Amino acid sequence: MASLPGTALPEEYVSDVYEMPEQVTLWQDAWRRVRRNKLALVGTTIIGILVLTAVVSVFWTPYPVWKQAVGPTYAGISAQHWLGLDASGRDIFSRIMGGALISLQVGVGTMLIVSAIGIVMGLLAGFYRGAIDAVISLAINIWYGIPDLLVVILLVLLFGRSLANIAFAIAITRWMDMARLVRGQTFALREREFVEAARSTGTRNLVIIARHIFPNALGPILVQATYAVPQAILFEAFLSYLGLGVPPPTPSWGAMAADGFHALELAPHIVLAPAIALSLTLMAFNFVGDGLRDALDPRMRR
Amino acid sequence: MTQRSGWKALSGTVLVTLLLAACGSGSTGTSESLAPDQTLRFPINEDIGTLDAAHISALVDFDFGQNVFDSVVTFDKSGKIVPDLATGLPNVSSDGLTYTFHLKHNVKFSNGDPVTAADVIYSWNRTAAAQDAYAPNFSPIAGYDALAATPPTAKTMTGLTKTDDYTVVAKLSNSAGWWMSALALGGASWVIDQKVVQAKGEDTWWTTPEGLVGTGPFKMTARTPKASLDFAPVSNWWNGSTGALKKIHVDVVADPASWVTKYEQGGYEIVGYADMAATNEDILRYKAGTHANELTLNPAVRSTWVGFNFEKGPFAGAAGKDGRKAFSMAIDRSQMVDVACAKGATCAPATGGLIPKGLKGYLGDGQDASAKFDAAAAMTLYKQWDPTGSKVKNLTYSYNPSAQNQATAENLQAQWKQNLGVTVKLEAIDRQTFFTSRDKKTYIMFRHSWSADYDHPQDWFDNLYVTGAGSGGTGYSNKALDQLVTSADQKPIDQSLNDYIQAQKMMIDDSFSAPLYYGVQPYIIKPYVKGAGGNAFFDYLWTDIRILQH
Amino acid sequence: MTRGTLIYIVQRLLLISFTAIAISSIVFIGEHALLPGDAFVSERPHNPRELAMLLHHFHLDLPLPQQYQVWVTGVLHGDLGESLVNRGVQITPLLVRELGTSAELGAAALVFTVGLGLLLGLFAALKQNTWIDYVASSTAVVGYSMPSFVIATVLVLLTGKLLYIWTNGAFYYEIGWGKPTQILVPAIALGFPYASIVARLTRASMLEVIRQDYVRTAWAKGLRPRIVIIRHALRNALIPVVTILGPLATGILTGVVVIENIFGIPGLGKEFIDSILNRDYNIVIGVFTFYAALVGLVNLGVDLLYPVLDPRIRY
Repeated sequence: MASLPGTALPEEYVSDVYEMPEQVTLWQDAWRRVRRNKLALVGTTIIGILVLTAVVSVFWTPYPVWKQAVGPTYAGISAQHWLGLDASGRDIFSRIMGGALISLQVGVGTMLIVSAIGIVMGLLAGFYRGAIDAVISLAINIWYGIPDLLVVILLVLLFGRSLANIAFAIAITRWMDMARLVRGQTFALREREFVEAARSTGTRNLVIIARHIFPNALGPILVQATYAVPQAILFEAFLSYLGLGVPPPTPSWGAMAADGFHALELAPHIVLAPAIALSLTLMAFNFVGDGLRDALDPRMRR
Repeated sequence: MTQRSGWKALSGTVLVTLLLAACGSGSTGTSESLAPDQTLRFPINEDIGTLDAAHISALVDFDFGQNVFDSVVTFDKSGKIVPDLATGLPNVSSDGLTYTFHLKHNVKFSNGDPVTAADVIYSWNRTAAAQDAYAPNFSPIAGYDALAATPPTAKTMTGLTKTDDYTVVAKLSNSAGWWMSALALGGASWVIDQKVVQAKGEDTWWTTPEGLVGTGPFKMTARTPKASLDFAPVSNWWNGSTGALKKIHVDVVADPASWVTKYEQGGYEIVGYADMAATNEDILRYKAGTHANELTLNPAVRSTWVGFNFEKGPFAGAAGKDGRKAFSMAIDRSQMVDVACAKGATCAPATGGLIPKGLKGYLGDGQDASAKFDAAAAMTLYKQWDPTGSKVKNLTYSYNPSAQNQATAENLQAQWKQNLGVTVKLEAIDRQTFFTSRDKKTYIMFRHSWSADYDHPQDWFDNLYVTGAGSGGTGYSNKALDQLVTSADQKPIDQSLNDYIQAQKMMIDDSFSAPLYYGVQPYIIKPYVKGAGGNAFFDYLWTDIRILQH
Repeated sequence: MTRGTLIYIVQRLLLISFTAIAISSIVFIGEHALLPGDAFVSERPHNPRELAMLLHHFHLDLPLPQQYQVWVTGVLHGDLGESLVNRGVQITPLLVRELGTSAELGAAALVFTVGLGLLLGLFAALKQNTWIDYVASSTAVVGYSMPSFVIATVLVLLTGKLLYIWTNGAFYYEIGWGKPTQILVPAIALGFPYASIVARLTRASMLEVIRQDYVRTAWAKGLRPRIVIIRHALRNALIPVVTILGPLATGILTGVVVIENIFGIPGLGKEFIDSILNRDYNIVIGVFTFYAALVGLVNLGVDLLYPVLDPRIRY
């Protein structure tokens, strides 16, 4: 018997080659897309290596990261020292490992703080609108006008050069992007039917925000967060270059590169190792961010 | 030609040749051919602090001022005291209390104003009244104490008078064997133009080309604050020739690495003047490379050591002695010099006391017991002194950042961790805050260094080691040492030298410090620039420099 | 210019002034209340009387509200005071001079950024998925993945040292500031990371525009590809680029700080670092004021550019 399209058919009428499209969630679909994106895969691999190195460095490095004169200063690559020695005679390979930990801590730490501040601000501004939005938007605009590098330097000078302070100082100047994004998303989402439905059943505002709006905005939030990590790592590298990053002897790739520049002609490996490590890490996070953005963007269907 | 005319020709030729040779050897011209452009260019890393005689103290400022100003006496290249504005060395009375200076009659400031005894007295009184860093150079003069009192009761020293327009008489309240050296140093004792100071303002007269008026061979012709300085010779200088240079151009550029790049491009003739230094890496490159002849390593009269706080903290007093000793014994100075000073190019281990080699008061190579390295003994002594590790909790080493200070600090940290098992935190404090706080004895363990002003141990003791020393930072107080030094200060140096050596031995017994290294001043000079460089105390004057054809 | 535009400009200028004064006030109060360290120090201690005279000269012996009042009065007259470290140096002319330097550098970098970015993006889009696209895109990614101080120092090594050696002194980059040619290398170092961002954006938006119907129509009509691109596609593809010009300019102004320090260019960025490290409080406040105003003005300029590029936008 003929039936309306879309209704279930008895098995004998279902052709062998016709398959029902699989029901996938946004996340499963995104994951598939990411998997197809080669650059994003490369990026993920690099990040994986980074995390592994960072974890291992807590327990073991070929030489202690702080010990000087383990060999002749400026020595090049050799069997005992896989990346050579720096100007103070410290093993560079060990310090690169230690630097991975620092970069991860700064990057992820800043990202978490930025997300916390930005998401809260964005949700409040976007959902309640009116006066709250006006105030938060004004704050965002004013904050954009503040030169961020200058503020970070000033804050670090005032409150000290610890990892936490640096992450905090960077986050304070960079939360606006996340806030603006979440605000935009909230604006759009709050007009959707499921929000209206929730409201009509008398759900409290905070529950609506937490249960309906926030999870639906999660995609772009995740993308923005992924971009926030290399931004923070770059910032810390700048600070280290200016001599304001994490204090010695903690190895930071930015500080290592800064120290190594003077020896560029004498011993290029001193600056090349951290510079390449930095660049690879930043590229990796950017690739993954791009991949996530392409994967979660509903317009880019192929 | 007949034989006779041949002989005539030959003898004629010989005669002419002899005449020419005689004329040639009689000429006084040098055989150097000077380049047409006699401009000297070199970099400094920050703008000058001050060129006001009453306030000057930094070595970089001295190296500029010495070409623009003069005093009654000065040091020659080899460090001997010679007359400058005076006609000869002063007449000193037999009791050593009265100094009479006779001034030259033809001295003029660069703006044409003549110089008389009144100018000398005005300048010296002004410096003494300002009570800044080097005012104590005049402390032996009678009446100085009135200016130094709080509140001051006079503005001029009663002991400083003139008997006529060209004779200055200084009566001292106590004999001082070091006073001539202090005068020859310059700075505080430079003669300045009262009219200019009053016209242009007490604080800022020296900041513009029109205001920087002195008796020296050079004057400032242009200044862009924090960017550049230009000097040129004073025309018709009262003391004759100002030398070959026609212009000196100084760039203010913070990064030492870019100095050497620009030098190699031909943008500078010298790197290293005014107490500046190229990076360790550039020095190593030059030492080992084809241009090694352009690098000169001059032993400098600077000494660096780790200071301890004797008034508070774990290292205080007698109870802290073992700690101080252990920390000093745990430092391998040859490793430090290797790591922090371009493999030993820009400093040498300090094994002969805190007064550097080459100066009076040096104890002799290896004579400083507190500079010996013994890791095992250090560890044992440390464990004895602090078995629970409670004394070194949060221990911090404080210093002002510069490339060498940073490398030194990090090496100290690494060595103490390795040889004592102690983790010391590093604290880099900006130069200004660091110096005030150090003088206020804020820091527990800190970097200290001193560049000798002149070759006399009094310079070190009175500023650093006696009770209440202004720049000590330690709070060290040894009454016996104070007495010894006070009496030594009054005697001439050949009699007092032994006293100063004894005083140093007292300090070593007290484990006063952990000596580190003596400084070396590196100069990189183009091979066609002659007369440049320096002695241990200061750069050679610009009047000596010539740029040859190249 | 319409009345609406004028009102808009005035509103923005007011906001800029307010922000600038607010920021510098915060810095002023923060510095004078919080920062440790005496203002005047040298290797040997100052006499207390001398110190008192200096404090009085700089109004540092007054209570904080009065100091602030003195300072604000000065600012309204255009006088930012005197340097604490280099006596006799007036701050306002110093910063104005350095502002000009930084503005020159920033403008050159902006031109380079937009120029190179557009070119790279265009080529990558037009030759999509060929090796040209690959090279251009990779260059872009490298550009914004490397810290600018890495790019800068590599450039200095290449153009300063190696170029000098290869051409035996004929061509080289002379470190410093003063000659017109000396702006090239710092501008490139400063602009390169941002050029990459522009390139990516241009590529993406160009790709989208090319697929639009009106472009296909123009092609189908037989118009030469070049005309099609320039006339139709480019202008529309540029719109997203224009929208990021604001953040781009701000980003360049931030990057100026590091670049000026590396190349020793006497601009605001270098002054900022120097004055912070020297604890020259007066100059630090002055720099913040100027910087905030500069950022505001640059953004205003960019915003005023929109109606020129897209007539649909009006204030």
